Amino acid sequence: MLIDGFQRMMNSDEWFWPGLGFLLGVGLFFLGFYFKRRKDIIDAIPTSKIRSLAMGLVEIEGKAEALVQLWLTPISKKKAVYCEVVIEEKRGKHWYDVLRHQTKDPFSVVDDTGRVMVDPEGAEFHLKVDHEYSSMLFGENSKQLLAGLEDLGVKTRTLLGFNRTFRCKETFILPGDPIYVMGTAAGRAGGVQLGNGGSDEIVIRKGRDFFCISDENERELSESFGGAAIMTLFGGPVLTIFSFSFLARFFF
Amino acid sequence: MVALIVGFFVVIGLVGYVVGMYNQLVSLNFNADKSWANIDVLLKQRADELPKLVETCKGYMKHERELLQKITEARAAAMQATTADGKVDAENQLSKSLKTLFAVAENYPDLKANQNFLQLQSRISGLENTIADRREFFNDSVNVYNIKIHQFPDLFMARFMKYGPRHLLQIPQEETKDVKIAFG
Repeated sequence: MLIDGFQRMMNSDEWFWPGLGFLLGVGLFFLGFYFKRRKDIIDAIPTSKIRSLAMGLVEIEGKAEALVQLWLTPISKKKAVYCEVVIEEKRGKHWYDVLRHQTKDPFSVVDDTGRVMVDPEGAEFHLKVDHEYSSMLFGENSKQLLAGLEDLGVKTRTLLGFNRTFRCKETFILPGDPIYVMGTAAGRAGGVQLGNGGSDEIVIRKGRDFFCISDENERELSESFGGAAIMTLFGGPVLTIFSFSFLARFFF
Repeated sequence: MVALIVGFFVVIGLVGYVVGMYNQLVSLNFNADKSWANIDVLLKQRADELPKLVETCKGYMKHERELLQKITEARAAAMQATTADGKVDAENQLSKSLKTLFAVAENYPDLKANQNFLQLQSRISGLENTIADRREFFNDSVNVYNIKIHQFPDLFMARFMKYGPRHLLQIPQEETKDVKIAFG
């Protein structure tokens, strides 16, 4: 029955999406355990004060400060400690990358007891998108978007004078923005001196454990992961069973 | 067939949940142990600075021999303490003696001008603040652990694993009172 069923399925065009849904559902279910584990780690580790950081997995909350330099965001022109930009252009039916950039400079996090360096290489960023822009084929487009694209050397009009279609997302952390970091505190060799009152010898970076940087606080982040866990742990099986109801006719 | 798929997810889900619960309790238990050990690291650093402080003060505070002797004895008691409660008591006594010493040092301008003394005082005061932070962190870790082992359904797993509640670090009432300074 199974072999006949698979043969009937392969001979038909209608198995692809239900089959994909079936496998995706199983994948989502196991992804739910990943989100649950993330939530458990966030809930298990208390927040440390920066002046008394111990080596190993730590959780801190404070305000971001530039350490090396401030980055000018290309469209909104803000001076940011960290910046992620995605600019895409629509050609035909598909979107193509024009620019995809993420800054990697270390920065400082400051709380009321001191400051510590954070090396964001390899971090999971959970940041809200700060600005989204899109341009239209016809009509007046945002001057800010057009100016930003032209500063980057991107042509905003076709040879015939029509507007090109772009979409742009900017995500950034400004100096003074509240920030949450969970990562591995380790000894720092050399590097920039942070000045008085700081954990000068320590950097928070990627280790063997979870490394996350977010503009949400601990409670909000825990709830986000908890919500994602519930959706995938229940949604995955529902998708699998729903997809199977379409695949079942090949077998029964 | 649908029942088989549902059964698969239910079984995997239950196994995953139980394994996750076990691992979480183990993590919380070890986190509390680690945060206790991290206090010890700083207490050791403070203990290492004390002989230098006593030597620096001896030359200036000729009339405070009793106080300096108290610090030396409190340091020895803290290093010899074997139980957790005994260690906490001994360390609290040492902190109290240090507070008295720094207050009395205000009467010795020559000592206050001594660079060595100033550096040691700054270092030990910094360590005291960090020790206080790490004690608070230990209490937070223990609190998270205690809540978890009492919540449903984790309490069943905790009983199975024989995990009992842990004690928080308490500061004795007399330690929170202001230090009285006696001169002479």
